[in-house]
Amino acid sequence: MKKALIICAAGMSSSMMAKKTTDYFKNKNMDIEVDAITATEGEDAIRNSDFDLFLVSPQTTMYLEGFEKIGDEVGKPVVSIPFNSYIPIPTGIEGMANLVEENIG
Amino acid sequence: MKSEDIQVVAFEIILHSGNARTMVHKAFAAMKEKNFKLSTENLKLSNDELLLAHKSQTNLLQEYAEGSHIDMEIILVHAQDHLMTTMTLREMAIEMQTLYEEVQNIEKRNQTKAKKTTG
Repeated sequence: MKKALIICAAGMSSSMMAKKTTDYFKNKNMDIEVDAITATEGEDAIRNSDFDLFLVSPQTTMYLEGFEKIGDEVGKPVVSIPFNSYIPIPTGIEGMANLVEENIG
Repeated sequence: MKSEDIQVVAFEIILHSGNARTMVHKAFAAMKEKNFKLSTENLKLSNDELLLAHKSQTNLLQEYAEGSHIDMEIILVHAQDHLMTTMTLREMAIEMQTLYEEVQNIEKRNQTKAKKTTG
């Protein structure tokens, strides 16, 4: 199973997006799970966790550069989530799922 | 208002507040570089984003005022938290810009004084 992690400010909106995206993959019989954490835990997660992909939410763009740098160091992809893929409506969830699929390797 | 609609409004508020916060951070960075034109520009842009967040919120309040029942979902509380903390951060940034400018003025005065005494 592949695992992606969404990083956001307080981990609340991202939890919602993670849950809905995981359900989307389940419905499509795809073995991908999405989880969420707060930006304060972001650095540690990228360095030490077993996730295959890290997604930085649009409202934490100010941390993106730092997270990308750590991603480079440990050889894990860190991508930014575009505005229209971070909204809990069907097109938003689909955008998020596509983003995960394209980058999870 | 459906739960899904409330979630969408909450996300709009969160995203616009987030953009605003990113711009405030850019303004802080510019202040450190003493680039006050750039910091002022970023503070203005952050205000534009906050206005968009407010606009989403206003739609919700208007529906409420018209008598439609709005469930106070936790995500909405969270969105409000994003908005208010970012507004406070922006107000702080404006105060700090004044201080940074004052520090620059003092530095300039000291430099001219030093020149006079050595010259």
